[in-house]
Amino acid sequence: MILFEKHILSNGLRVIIHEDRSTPIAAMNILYDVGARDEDPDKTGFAHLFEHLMFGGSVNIPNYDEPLQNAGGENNAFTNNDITNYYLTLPAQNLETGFWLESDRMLSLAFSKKSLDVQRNVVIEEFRQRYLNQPYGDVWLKLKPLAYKVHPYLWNTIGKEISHIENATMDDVKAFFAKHYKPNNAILSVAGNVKTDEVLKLAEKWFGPIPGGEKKERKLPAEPPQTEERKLETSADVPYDAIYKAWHICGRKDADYYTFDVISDLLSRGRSSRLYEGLVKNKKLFSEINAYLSGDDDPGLLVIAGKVSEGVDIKKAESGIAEEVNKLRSSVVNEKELQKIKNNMEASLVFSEMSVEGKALNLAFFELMGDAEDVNREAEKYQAVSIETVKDLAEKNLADTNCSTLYYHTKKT
Amino acid sequence: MQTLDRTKEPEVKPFPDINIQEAEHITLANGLPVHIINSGTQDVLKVEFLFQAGALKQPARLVAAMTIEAIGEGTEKLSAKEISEKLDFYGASLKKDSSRDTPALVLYTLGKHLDKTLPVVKDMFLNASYPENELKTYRENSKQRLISNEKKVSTLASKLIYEMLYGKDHPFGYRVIPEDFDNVTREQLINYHRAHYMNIDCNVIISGKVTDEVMNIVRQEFENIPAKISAFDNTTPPPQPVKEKKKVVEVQDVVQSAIKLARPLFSKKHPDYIPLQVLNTVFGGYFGSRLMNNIREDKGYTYGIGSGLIALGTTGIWSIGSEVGVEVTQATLKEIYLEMKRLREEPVAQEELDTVKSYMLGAFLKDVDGPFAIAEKYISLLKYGLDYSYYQRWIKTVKSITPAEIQALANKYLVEEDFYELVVGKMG
Repeated sequence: MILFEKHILSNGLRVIIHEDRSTPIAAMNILYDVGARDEDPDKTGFAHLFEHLMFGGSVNIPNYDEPLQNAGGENNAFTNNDITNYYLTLPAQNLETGFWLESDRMLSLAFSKKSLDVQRNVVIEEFRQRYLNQPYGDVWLKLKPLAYKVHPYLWNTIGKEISHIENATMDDVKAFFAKHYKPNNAILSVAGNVKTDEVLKLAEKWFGPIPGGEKKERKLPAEPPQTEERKLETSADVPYDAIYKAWHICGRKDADYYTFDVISDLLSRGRSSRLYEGLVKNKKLFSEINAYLSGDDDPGLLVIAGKVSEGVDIKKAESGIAEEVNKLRSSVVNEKELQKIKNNMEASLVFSEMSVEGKALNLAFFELMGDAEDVNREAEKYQAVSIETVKDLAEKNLADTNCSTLYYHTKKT
Repeated sequence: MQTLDRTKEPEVKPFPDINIQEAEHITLANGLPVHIINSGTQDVLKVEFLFQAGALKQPARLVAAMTIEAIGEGTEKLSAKEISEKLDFYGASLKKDSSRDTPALVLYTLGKHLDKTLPVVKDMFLNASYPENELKTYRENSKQRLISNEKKVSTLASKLIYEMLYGKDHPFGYRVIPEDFDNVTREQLINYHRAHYMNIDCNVIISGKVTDEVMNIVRQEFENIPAKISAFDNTTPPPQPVKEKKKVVEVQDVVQSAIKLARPLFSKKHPDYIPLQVLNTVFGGYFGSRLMNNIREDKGYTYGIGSGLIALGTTGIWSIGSEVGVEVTQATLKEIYLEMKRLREEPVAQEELDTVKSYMLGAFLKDVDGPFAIAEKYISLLKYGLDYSYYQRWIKTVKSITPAEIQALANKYLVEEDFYELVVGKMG
């Protein structure tokens, strides 16, 4: 249970505060409601490149990191399909330094040419390190355009291709900032050894004067229902064959999301899970296999990813997955197995609330999804999942016609 | 209303005193040492069993790591599946740390389920049976994972650098190869388990909400086992480094090379260890470090570069690592050596050193946020035979060290000729 207060400043910035006196530090989280899905299809990778530029100095403060480190702070950020999230921690008595830094870069950036030139290179190296220079690294570059045909989830946060990053101009940067980096498009949360009224005063002082913008309408093309099986074969210098299967499911805000989460856990959470027990231990078709949800705001994916055991035919391995999926679609799970997943969920929720950094992020995220208070309703939503809804949704969504499969073959060089 | 001057930084307040909650120590009737961090409000527990059963004590390659990794593959009473089911049902998880100096088994559980989950762990200590059929699967899958991982230039480089510094036959230097998994026999595992795990020759560290009820369960489960607790000893044989200090491992079709530079050092007990942590932070230990500023933020050669001190038994190393575009591999090496030279030849500016000090003290505060983090701080003392005075010395040194002392350390330790240099990929 996370107790908090929520206020909305007149410029539209939402401020959420959680007091935790057991720690000497404070965490500050600023979530901007902009991600890779908001990009132009010809300028992908931009939300993430922009995140890097947010550290290149703001209008009144030439260097972001140094004053924060001087105040004993640390920070980082991440970008995904839906959001760009910035977070920092500080000794609680220096929290105002965080307000000063974050409000200035929301007000305006320095837009330095040097920063753009360097960060383009840094991001290209990130692209190479994560997607090109390790085995199976490019899986998502291939799987997403197979699963999505029109919705912007068809490209990855890092971008469709390196040239999009190379071609980013300062005008693009400025336009992106003007459009998305507004107080009414952001959520600020603070958690830690703080007093709510003092934090509110700081928020008014530093963020209050920043002018709000127009409310942003998001009009993204909806992905049409998939009606037939999609398959793609690829090969690379990898040591073993691998299979990736992705089924379309609902978005994160949908009530069904919790059932899909349970389904993915039934399949692969823990060593007593169905895929591990059935396909790794008993049939020895895979050396490792996992199931998970993409967790996106708009309708997302349930993915099964497995590395095929040496000497096993990839089609035979695939039929093993089909068998496990069909079991879920044709017969109800027993109550005890479902209870196991619910107990697991309960434990994970408790463990995710162990740090103030985690609590600040959770509060901002659930506020974006509709209501910060939902952070405290997760457990009951999982409890409400029944053996019937598991079977119904597995039957409905885990059909072959709703599935994209990537066969990743070895090509020994 | 007064206008806000956004160019003016809010006043940075003096650092608060860092009060680290110390562990409470008890010894069970059978001699088992238990260390308790009772803190936090959530009903969670982390129970760590820290053994002195690492590679230093093993009779043959990989035996120590495999004994702990496969300890849950079955006992005389329960199959691997039953063990997993019991733990999974209560939402508990088990982490096996097969690090080379101090392996550990860690149980994460809700406090209310400890009475169900702790007996499962106890059963592994007393009755692990390493069934041959489970070992077969374990061997095959581990080999596959190893081969996959080593296709990453950075993973391969991290392993090879230890081989260069310690020698290929040293317990901290040998590189695990796929055949090792086949060569370890069930008998070796059973014997190693019997020698170290069956008599629970370990330290137990419990953190989270540690109630009287929790301690009753711990006593009930462990007090009646005959324990044999050995004295702390992590004496490490002298490293046998390779003769040739520079090595290039060519890999075809890569777009980035992994760079590793490392030099031998000493254990955490050496008086220079703490001051060197400050020099390391200036050099490559945080986002604002010299290496990051030059090689990422100025040149854009890499997504990240960093350096760190690593303690291993009674030895240690200082290591630098990055992945860079193949075309700038040479240029990056040149810049790394240049940054070493700058630290040797010019004193670090007081302002920069002050930033590093604030950063390090702030990071320390964050490191003691929450019961598990506080326990982690204690465990890293226990692993090297240190006590809490180490952290007092750490705080005092960080606060007081001067630019002149940093420069003297750089001249002593940041010396190009002392570093081993490895490139996995292409020289460009």
